[in-house]
Amino acid sequence: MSWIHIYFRLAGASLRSQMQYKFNFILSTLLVFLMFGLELMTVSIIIYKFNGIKGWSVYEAGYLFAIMMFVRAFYRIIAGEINGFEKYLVQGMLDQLLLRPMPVLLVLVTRNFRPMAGELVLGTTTMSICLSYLIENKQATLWAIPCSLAVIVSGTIITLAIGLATATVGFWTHRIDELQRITDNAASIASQYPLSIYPKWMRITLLTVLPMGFTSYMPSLYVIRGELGLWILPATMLLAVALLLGALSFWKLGLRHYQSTGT
Amino acid sequence: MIIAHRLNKTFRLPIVMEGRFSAVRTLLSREYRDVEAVNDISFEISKGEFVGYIGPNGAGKSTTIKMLCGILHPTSGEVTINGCSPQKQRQQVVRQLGVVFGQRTQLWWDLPLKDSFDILASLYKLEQQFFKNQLGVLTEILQLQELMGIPVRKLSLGQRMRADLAASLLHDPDILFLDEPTIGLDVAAKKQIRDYLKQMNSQWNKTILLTTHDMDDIEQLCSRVIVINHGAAIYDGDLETLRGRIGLPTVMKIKFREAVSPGYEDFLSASTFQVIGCQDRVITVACNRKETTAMEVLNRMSKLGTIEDIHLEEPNFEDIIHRIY
Amino acid sequence: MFSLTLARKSYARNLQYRSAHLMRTFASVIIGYIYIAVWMGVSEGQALGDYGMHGIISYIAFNQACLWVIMATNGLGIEEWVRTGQISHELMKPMHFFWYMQNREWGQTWYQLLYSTIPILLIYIVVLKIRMPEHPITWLWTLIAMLLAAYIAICIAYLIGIAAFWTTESRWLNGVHMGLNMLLSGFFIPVEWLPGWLKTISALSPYPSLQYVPSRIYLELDSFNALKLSLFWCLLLTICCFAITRTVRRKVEVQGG
Repeated sequence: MSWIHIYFRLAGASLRSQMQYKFNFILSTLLVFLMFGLELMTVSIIIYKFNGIKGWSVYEAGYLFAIMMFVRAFYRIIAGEINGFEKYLVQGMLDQLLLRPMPVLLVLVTRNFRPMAGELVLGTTTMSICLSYLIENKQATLWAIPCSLAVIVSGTIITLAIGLATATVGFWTHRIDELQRITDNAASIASQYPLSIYPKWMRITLLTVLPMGFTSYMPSLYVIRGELGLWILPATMLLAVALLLGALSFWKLGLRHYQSTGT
Repeated sequence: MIIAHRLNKTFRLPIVMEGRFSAVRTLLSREYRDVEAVNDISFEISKGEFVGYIGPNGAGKSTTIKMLCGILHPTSGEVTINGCSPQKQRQQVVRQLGVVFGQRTQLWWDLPLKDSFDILASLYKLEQQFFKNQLGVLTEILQLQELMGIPVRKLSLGQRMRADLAASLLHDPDILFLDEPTIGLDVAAKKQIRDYLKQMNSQWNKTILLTTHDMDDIEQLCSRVIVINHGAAIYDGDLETLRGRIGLPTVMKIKFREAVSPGYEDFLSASTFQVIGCQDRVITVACNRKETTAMEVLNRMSKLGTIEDIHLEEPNFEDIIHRIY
Repeated sequence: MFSLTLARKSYARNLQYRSAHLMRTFASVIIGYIYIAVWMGVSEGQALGDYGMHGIISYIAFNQACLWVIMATNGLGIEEWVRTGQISHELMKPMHFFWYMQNREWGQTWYQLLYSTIPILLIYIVVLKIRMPEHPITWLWTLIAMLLAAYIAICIAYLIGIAAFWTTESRWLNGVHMGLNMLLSGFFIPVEWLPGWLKTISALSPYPSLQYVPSRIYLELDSFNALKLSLFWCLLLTICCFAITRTVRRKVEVQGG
């Protein structure tokens, strides 16, 4: 319990630091909203114009997109700094974090805390539009709502685990920004769309080596299309937890190899 | 209290390939260059000691300190602090440590100073009453009253160092590790920091390990000195013995009123000091004050003409290292 | 030859980080591939105007390669200078500030053209067998279109950078610019397929010159006449940049920078 308390304490401090530059904070929140809004608009225009994508209707595709918006937003809220971990390695910024009497990860994730309000608003809007349409058309029931929450939770955990594992590679290679472009950016862009549009090798990659396919696509098959079966939700959750535990022990191993700025 | 047993730290750096397709080759190659930053260092520090840890740049000072506080894992060897390993029981050990890196701050840059202390208190789970007392004492000793409402980024370097010192002492650790705490400070601020450190050691009985480039820090604070070069400890003992070993190498620049007559070199050749340079009216000599006194040098020099000005230079650190060998 | 030296310097600086560059190029190829897959997904059994399935794949692939040329540094780095106060120093350089910034950035642009755009295009040509121009002269028009696009992109980045004088931060503004580029330039969807009102906005903006024009020329769907539009925007934005530089100079002088 006290860790949660400390998390909020540190995250609050980080938020207050940003509030020192109020104009900037508000402006950047608005611009981020605009930025993601434009991306959402582009994609929806394409899918709308062609009436869906590979057998997925506009609303089904929109649902996938919304799930990924939530996942990305929560990932950034919980662990924004994991995405920018390179500077901690290269500039030795991890030193100070290691001097605190608590898990390093806990201190790290509270740094530069950002509420990601823009993405959450967009995600909620898209999600409500898509789900209400699907429920109205009897393609889904209200049951889809708790299921979606579960999908978002497991998706966030999977993304977090992959992000953490990628960051950990940096303890050996020092440079990770570029690797993160593939595992973080490319893979999460890929999971915004139904996996069936990709060629086989990519589908297999996204379900094994880089299991981002489980963040949105696999569980959504059950939630909004009634395929697979209920089992996919607990299975995904199980996978997520296993991945996170794996990533955490990899992280612990990585910490032993931290070189600071030593030459 | 602090035991370092046969510490080694080797950094492994990939070799960057040259020439054609070098990028691909660097990416694929498994070749590494090993750099030994710390080589078989052992020492024990008991409670209440004030130890200076000195050596030239890149000698391995910071690497040692980082191993002592658990940031780095030694390649081989062991660290024990109050019976615990900072690597295996990191969270437990760092509670007993106060660490200050002179080049970095542990405070919250954009927030008022007071907030940093509040946050630290909850990080270290300090009792409210204990925190109040401790902060009260530190505020008074380190004169932080007026700084409490100011965002850390607006503090001067000297003020920030005082605040950082307070932050590292807030949870009342037994041991202080200070990496270059006086770097970049002006003379007055340096003296202030030294006075505080002296007080921490003598009145509060804190064990202190300090790295520095400033020989004055060592002279005025440390009862014991460990000298390190190329990753290996080359001296460990009290300051007096070290002084006896290296003497007090001094460089003197003596300026005459008129140009020096050409025969001066022969005249000075049989002296207890060496001429290392001569430029117009200025003669530069090196001597060791263990063998000769400054007065003696001046006496002899005055035979060459009327002395107008004298300038004494601080001994250079690299020179001192050479003398220990 | 000061400008040439400047450009060469920033070009050489980029060459140092080669393995990072390889990874970045790879990521870019993959992301472009995802966009292509999206189009293959939506276009099943649908006519795709004058592009056709193969054409739209080539269109998206070319845009992804071309993107590197028009991705100027965020605000040309002016933001950082404004924050550190170095800006008043830089404003005193013995050439017009706008030209000075242009030249610094061109080294980066040439580097990206040679080491990102061309390799990515080659990969797509080999792996996806995307379309290549039939007439050799088209290569020349494509190159000119891309250089004009790069010029326009640098002008926009300059304006974004200058905005930092008022907002102190331009990172998010740059993000919005990239978002607008995705929507309005035809990067992800050919401009003629945008809904009516967006098509109008796009037509009134410089964005089509960034991607739509070079891509259409490359695919030999438009003649070199389309370059007139790009030239028009180059001219207009140059005037804007000069005008805003004057304003900023006055602002800095008043503040006693």
